[in-house]
Amino acid sequence: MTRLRSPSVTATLLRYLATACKHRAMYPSEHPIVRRAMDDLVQLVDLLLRDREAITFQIYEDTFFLDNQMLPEESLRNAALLTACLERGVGLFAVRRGVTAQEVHAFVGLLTTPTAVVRARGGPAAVLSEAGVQHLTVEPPRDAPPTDMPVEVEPASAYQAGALVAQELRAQAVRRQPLDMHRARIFLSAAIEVVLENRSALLALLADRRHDESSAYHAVNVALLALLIGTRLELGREALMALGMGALLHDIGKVRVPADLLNRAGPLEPGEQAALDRHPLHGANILRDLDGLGRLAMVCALEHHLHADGSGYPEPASGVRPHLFSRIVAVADTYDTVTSARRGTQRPLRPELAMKWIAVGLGSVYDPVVGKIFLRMMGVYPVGSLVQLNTGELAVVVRPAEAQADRPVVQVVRDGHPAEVVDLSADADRWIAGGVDPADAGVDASALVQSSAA
Amino acid sequence: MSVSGRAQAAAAVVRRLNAAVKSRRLYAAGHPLRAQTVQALVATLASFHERYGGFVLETHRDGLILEGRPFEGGESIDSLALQLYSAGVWQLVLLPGLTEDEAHRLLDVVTMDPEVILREGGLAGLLVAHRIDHARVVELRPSDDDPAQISLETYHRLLDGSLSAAERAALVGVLRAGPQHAARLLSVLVERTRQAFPDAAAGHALGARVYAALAAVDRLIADTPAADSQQLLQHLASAVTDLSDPHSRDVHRAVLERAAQDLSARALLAAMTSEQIARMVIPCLEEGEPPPQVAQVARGLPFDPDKARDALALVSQHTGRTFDLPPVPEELRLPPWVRDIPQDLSDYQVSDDSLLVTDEEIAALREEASVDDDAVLREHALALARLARGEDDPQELEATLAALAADVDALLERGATDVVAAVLGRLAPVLRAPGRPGEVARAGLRGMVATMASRLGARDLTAWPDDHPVLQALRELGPGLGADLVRAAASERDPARRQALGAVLVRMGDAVVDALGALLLDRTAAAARAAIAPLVHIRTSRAVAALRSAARHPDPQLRRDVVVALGPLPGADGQAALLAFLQDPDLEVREACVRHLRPETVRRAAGALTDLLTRPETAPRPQLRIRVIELLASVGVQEAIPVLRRLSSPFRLRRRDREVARAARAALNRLRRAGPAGRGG
Repeated sequence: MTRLRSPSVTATLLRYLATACKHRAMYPSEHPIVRRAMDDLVQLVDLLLRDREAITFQIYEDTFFLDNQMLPEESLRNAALLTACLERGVGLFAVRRGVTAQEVHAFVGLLTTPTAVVRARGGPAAVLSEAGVQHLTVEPPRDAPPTDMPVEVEPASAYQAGALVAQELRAQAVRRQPLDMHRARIFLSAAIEVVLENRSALLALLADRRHDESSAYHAVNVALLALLIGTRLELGREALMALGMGALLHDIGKVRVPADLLNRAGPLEPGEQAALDRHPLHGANILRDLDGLGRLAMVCALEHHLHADGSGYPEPASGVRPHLFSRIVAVADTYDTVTSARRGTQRPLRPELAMKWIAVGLGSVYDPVVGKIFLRMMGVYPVGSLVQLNTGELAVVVRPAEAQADRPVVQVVRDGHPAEVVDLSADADRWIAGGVDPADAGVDASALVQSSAA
Repeated sequence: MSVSGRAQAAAAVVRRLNAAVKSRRLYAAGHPLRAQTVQALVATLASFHERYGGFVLETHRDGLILEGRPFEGGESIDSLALQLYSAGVWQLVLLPGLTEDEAHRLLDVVTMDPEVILREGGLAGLLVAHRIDHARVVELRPSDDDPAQISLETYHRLLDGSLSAAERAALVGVLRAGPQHAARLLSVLVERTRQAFPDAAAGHALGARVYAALAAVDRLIADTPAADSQQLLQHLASAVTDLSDPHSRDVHRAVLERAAQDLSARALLAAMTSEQIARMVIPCLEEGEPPPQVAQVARGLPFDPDKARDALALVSQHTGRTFDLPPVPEELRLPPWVRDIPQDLSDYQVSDDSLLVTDEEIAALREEASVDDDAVLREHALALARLARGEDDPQELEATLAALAADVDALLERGATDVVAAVLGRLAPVLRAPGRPGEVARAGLRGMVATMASRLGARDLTAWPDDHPVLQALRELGPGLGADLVRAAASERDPARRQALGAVLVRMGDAVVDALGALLLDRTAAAARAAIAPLVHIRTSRAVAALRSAARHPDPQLRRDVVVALGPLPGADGQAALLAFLQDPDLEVREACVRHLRPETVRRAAGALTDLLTRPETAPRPQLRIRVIELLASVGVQEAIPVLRRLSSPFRLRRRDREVARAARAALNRLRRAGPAGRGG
């Protein structure tokens, strides 16, 4: 099979297929909207098969895979398609070059045929065979990853999947519906892959500090940072999953805090502050009835503002140390909160100052070991920090150096443009003299990191 | 193959494509630059194809999406994006094998007037007609519905933040489509606001309500990718400024009023130009409003004082009024726990040595991270107990305690009594809550303990040592929960469960005595009776004292039951308690009491017992009198001799009296033999 080179583009096939199935299920097949959706789908299939022999999608653990490429965002966006496939016993479908419009139509027909009828006619393969389909094959779901190759996930896809899931979970919490943790698992599976396999790309992604602290991205950032710490502790996948759930949902209780309090720019009155400080309780109430590993998410939601020494809120607990995952989430939450920007209205703390703030709180507010692991992992000057070197040059941190937490890899910036990359741990003559506010220097540090990562 | 290398190569293709499109526009046919740029495009594209396969470029209205990410290349690239967008291109796919001739024809087609492209049936058809086989397009399809036309239901979901993913995407799509579309959405929002809130036809109420909707839209924008959000906000800001409504000033005033203290208003102000801000402020001033807006504008732009100054200068020019720009505080809006930084962070040094972590420390943390069922259950239960402590909403508290009861049951099933003890230990303060939460807590805990008792069974509970952690925790709950548990025990129909609950009460000991004592005095005998057995089993001095207090209970049957229960108690306390019943107005009670008095208690009760012999109402009960006589004789109560003599007359006519007389005579003989020295026997 030809290795697909642009999975995000190929994956648009899922969107077209989902649209065609949706319209086919809602309208008669001769309806213009159905015809248009089918034409688009056929056209796209034709396009995509121009430079490859076949396109194979497999479903594993409720996630679409394109070869070994996990597609979390597409799986979440096309959940109805995924369900339609699984309900009809389709765990894999391969479209081969030479596929005709009639064959594509037959496949859409299969996915919109009632499941009982599909079963009665001998299953999906038999239905397609009856229709004379030759260039499109289906197989039942397998209980194994798609290929022998290691699973790959595009960090950006996982990131957007996380934002999507976080928004949905929030909306479900507002509506007081049961939370769909299944979708959270899809995101977290992808996020764990990214954290394990593509850490540097992830750190570059996290260097974009333009997100709002109240946005869904905050939940995703905290989840990813917590998973990064978890991998440093060499936690197993189940533990990482539980940690990720806790981090993703740590602030879910804020949906029950009046919006005008969350939106307040100035200081809050004591009563208002007390109402805001109840969000861990609200969160724990929302997550109270989760089962399995989700139970630890409730613990994290309740404890993420409890300090390592037992102080904090919602209720100081003398002699009780918060759960490890809560302590991890507390560090990740603090870092993301203080370094996030509310568009044009809030000045974020520079990443290296946020690190110092965490360092100051080690042992009292933050678990000392967890905090140190975080500081060492991110570096004293995290990726995306704008710094001034002893030579007077401005530079952006592009990679942390764990051997010496204060000597990362930087990219020198000259006249606002990226210049050479310097590994400060290997350059004894240059070191970081101090941090610089990108706004003061007129440098878009996160854009430089993105371009460096690219 | 790395993603980054592909992205860089794709970016190079876009730049070449842009150069070729530009040269097509700028230079006449036959100009050498036209050919050169096409050659460069085809060469760069071939290199891309060779390494990465098909090339796909995606357009949005104001930009390009390359490799799934917005591609920023300045105005020139934006112009290319607009050109493609106008031509109806959503995705442009360039396939391997694109020749220079095809590239020329492709550029001819792409740079055609959009009207002509539409007239010709769209770009896809033109590519076929011009035999451009190695380029394909996926065309934009305008939606049949107007997504800005949101329903009232959607409006409410927008306000409470519960929009579905599709609804969110649709609204963001409207904002992305440009200021006019955003303006259309805002008009619909104003219309829906008036429909939803009858008080919001105009004025302050309209402004406040519409502002709430704007803040909700702002929250949607906050959830969009950062690259998008600023532009979306600008579109919304433009829509706010240009709002076409007779009461638009009310909306403007609401935004200005909130700029000082509300993040959404600030975000809108920050996204507006100075002119837009001035256009909002001026009508408010012209209406004769005092000018707080001026100060609000300044406070709403703490990070952009220049814009505030420019906006106010424009207002001054237009109105002829002068304003002193208030000083803009350089406000760092951070949570208080960050604001109260103990040291100057800039000076704080984090040394590499201070970040050393040992393998042992990491191993210890890893051990804590257990996610096996037992560990998860334990943490969940402990957290639920703390949640219950902090919760004052009765409904939530009830649900929390129900969930906790299930956890406790599961913990007991696994034998994790230490965790159960820790859970129960955290719940005592919940019982002290006043009002409804306290009631809910008691009911919830009563159920929990009842389930617990039935899971453990009376035998296990009885077998536990006195210092068992669960028993100790239960004792802490006793003062608040005892009465409820006793009632639960009383109303329990299942004998095994009732017995188990009784066993719990007994093991709680003195902690429930006050509650039991209070219940014992309940005028409802059935309820009061339920307290007897636990108190008897507790047996402590306080428990016996509580039983003794039942002598005041109005129901003789209950008093008798208490006496019967006290009788077999070993030790002096129970016997002492019985004395309180010796003078009970009910003869049955006194009789029961006498039946249970042991000789060692009789001396203390000699007077009462002797008195009993003289009472006419005891005459019909010879067995009672005989028992009293025997008791008095057994301990040598010499003071009883006169009464015994009176009773010992051989001339008694009734049979019952004769039996008593016989017993009296025997007692007298015994007392005489013992003599005064026999006292104290």
